[in-house]
Amino acid sequence: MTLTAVLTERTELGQGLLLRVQARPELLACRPGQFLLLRCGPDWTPYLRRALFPVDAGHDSLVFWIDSLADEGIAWLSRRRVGDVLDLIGPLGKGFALQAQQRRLLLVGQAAQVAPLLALMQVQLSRQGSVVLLLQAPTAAALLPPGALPPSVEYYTATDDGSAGSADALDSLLGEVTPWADALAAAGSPAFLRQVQRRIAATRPEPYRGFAQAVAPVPLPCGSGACLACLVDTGRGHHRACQRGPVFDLAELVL
Amino acid sequence: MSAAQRRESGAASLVNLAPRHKVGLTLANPVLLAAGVVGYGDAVLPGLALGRLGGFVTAPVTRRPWREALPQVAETTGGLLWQRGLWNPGVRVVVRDYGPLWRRSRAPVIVHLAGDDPDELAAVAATLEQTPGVAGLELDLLTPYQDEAGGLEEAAEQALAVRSAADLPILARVPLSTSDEAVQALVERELIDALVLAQPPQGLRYRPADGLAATGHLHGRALAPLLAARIAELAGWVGLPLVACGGIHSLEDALACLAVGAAAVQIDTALWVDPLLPERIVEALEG
Ligand code: FES
Repeated sequence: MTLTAVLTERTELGQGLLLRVQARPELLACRPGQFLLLRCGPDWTPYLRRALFPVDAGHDSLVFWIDSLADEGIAWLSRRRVGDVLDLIGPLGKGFALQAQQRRLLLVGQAAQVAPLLALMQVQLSRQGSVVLLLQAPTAAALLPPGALPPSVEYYTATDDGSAGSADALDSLLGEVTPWADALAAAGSPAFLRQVQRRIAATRPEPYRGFAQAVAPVPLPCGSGACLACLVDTGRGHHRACQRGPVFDLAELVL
Repeated sequence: MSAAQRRESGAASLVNLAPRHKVGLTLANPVLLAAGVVGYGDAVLPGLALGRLGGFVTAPVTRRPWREALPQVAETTGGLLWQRGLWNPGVRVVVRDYGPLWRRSRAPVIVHLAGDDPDELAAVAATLEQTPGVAGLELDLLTPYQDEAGGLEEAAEQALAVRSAADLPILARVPLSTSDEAVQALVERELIDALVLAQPPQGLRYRPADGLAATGHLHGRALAPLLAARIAELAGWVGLPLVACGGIHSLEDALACLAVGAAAVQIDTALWVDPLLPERIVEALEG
């Protein structure tokens, strides 16, 4: 069903924007790691809907953090004003699964893809679990400002230009924090996720299936399972990320 | 019969896409979904009421599994390039996995056959004929700017192979560039029941910023007037139902194609953006 939602709040946050939309219960059912498809205007330019991962869901609203204005569709969204109506489809796909006994959650992401991790962070905090967030970005300006996170979240950063943690910091931080965690969730580019896979394998000698989940780094152009542009190699065949994912066990992703 | 005439005649929106075929291919309305845009009928966005439509054409099916280059989608201005290839698990698995869905489908299922080899096409067609729920077959004949004589012989062999293997209506999808002579030759051989215009053309998108090029079949709104023009040219003399496929992104686009002589329309990638579009067209046609 295509559903309308109304933009009720628009705040600058870091390099990006925090958008709150009032939405119907069907959309509010979007779990961390699931996504919605946004139509970017009535004019077929940009043509495709854009996959949006909410960072939080309230009792009547969803929150999005958009930072990648380089994309034409997201740039269109950034130009919407309070009161504008958005056309959304969803929730789609399969999100993260956390077991009750998983109390110490490590989130590892690249800033541009952090949205689904922030949604999971909220769920973990709401059940009194602990959260550490390791975020990587090209520069300090592209990072999420520390003030945007709940104080109970331990937040570490690494930047390519060294402006907020050295480029190597991520690897050593991962080495330090991974043994503490009993669950890990990751989102980033294929190279980034490969780095996380290597680090986990080195830190946890036992097979880590069930410990780490990741958002597959693939486009989601149709969201329906038709276009096949989201195929993910799991080593046991290719699967459509919009159907079986986009969240997969990190151990099964062939990147 | 135009959409308006159809409404006035009270014939609702019923359409037979294979009037020369002994069983025919009768659709409740002339709104179809193009090959692959709902996969095998399993890839449906929430809100799309497949059962309300005239039918749908599946993603391609080959005899053996086809898994080569990974499919890609690249956005263009007002459209996209879809490099899907023939990616599919082969007819045996397709029938096993989706046959039950086709059997239950309220909308007629037209399976898109793929491949060049007549024997392979015949084998797939024979399997599909035994599969309950399959109402018709669609196959691509000719390629753009194909040598007319050689290309036509090859196309005729492919159509003959399918016709001999399966007693199901055959829709032939040809390129927009297919000449009048080639269309006439195909029609005269009486190997096909309807003509689908057109196979999506091949496109290339180049991004100067990073020097990356993407290729694929072009889908987008700009194709609708091209399609309507070709349908209008052919409608007067081709004695087969014409199906307009490509570029239809609005009720107006669909009505234009029906008004100039299309018996039915196929909605393609517009569906992914506006999944309620086909149903809106059906409702408008039903008055
Ligand atoms: S996004 Fe198109 S098949 Fe998954």
